[in-house]
Amino acid sequence: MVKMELSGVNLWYGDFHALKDIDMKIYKNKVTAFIGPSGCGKSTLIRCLNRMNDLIDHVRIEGSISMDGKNIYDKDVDVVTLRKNVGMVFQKPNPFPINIHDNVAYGPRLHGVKDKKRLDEIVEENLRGAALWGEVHDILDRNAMSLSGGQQQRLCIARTLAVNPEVILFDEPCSALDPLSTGKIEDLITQLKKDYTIVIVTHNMQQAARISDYTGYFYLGRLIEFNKTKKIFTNPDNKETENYITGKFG
Amino acid sequence: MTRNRYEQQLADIKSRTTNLGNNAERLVDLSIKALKGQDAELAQQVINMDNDLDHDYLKLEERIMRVIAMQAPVAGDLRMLLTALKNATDIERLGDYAKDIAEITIALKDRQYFTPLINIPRMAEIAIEMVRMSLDAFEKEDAALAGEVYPRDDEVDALFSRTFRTLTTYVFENPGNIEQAFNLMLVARHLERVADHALNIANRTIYMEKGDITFI
Repeated sequence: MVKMELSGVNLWYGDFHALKDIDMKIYKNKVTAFIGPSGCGKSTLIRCLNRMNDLIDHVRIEGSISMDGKNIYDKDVDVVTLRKNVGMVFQKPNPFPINIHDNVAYGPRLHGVKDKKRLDEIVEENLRGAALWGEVHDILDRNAMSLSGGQQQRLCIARTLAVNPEVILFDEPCSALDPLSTGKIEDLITQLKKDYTIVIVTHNMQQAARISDYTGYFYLGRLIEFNKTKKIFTNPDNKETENYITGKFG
Repeated sequence: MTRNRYEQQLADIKSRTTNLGNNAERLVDLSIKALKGQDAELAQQVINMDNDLDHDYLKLEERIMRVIAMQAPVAGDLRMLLTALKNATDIERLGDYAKDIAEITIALKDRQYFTPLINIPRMAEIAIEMVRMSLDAFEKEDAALAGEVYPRDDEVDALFSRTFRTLTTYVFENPGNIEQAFNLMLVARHLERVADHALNIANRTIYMEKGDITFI
């Protein structure tokens, strides 16, 4: 089932044409990976999916990106609600410099949950969802900045989950983490897809192979190939894709 | 081009696989020469050479495993490595058949053949040509050439049936021929298997190039 559909998406940063005629489908409860060399447009594209690019000056976007059939760029779309429904986890863990509990409770509070008991439940539920509860349940009042990088990243995931998104965007979520923490995040992503639709940008080809169901290969702003991941990594249709994933590129 | 060392490793594995195949092909050829000429000395050489082949095979397998472990190959590179690994197994079997034929040659060295060997050398010629073609196809990454190996197998199968009928007749004529006939029948059977292994190599080469496989 298609969760999001991109059709004829073009994006310019001023005069620079960064995305060219992107058509693709993001399937529900699947992990879709975007791969490609630096500057290929994959991060720009993932930021289009929750209108993060609205925050940048001189950006012009054409085409449509729909979620459940509704164009998210329509005038009547509330961007705050959109970003609640399409959460994002970034490359560098960015917890708020407050305690662990309040990091997770921040979003729900903002969206109107006042009851302390209910907030505690939400915090536990989502720390469990992010596979972090076991490590932090007795230090919830400690500052989030005291956690390790991998724990901080899982806290950011818990914070994202706490506002009940439908789609979660991961922009190179493991590039600042060690292999063990990376393994935990990857396991987590695989579990999360049962309840969420996931899009991940990664420079780590093996990570895309390990955790994604679909892979899109981007180069110079174009989507060169979009296919099932197992097809891409065993017998891609496009020679350019093959050259990139086997490291012969350039 | 990036990843130069990796590229070298891939090229190295491909050429080692082809070399292993060339050596095995030569062993089969020598084993039939020894059988025809009742040359026990040459047969013994074949047996010794098969030991070297087994050794080279294990080393090749180890190399392939190492590249898979260290370089995480994907797509066409991965298919090539898997093909090389599978081909190496087939090639190693070719050496075993040559060795078995050499052992039969030694067992029969003091007996006069009850019939001149005609069908068996002909079978060997075609089977060896099939090995040659499939190895060339692998080396040149030529799926079309690999496809040309298939029809040759019918010729080998036909010769195998003919050999079976001929040898059966000799056994009926004189039960004293049984041991020799059984041994020659085994040789024919080994050659028929050599052709089958050549087909495997051809099949895998098509997989390597096209990414899918159909057994014929």
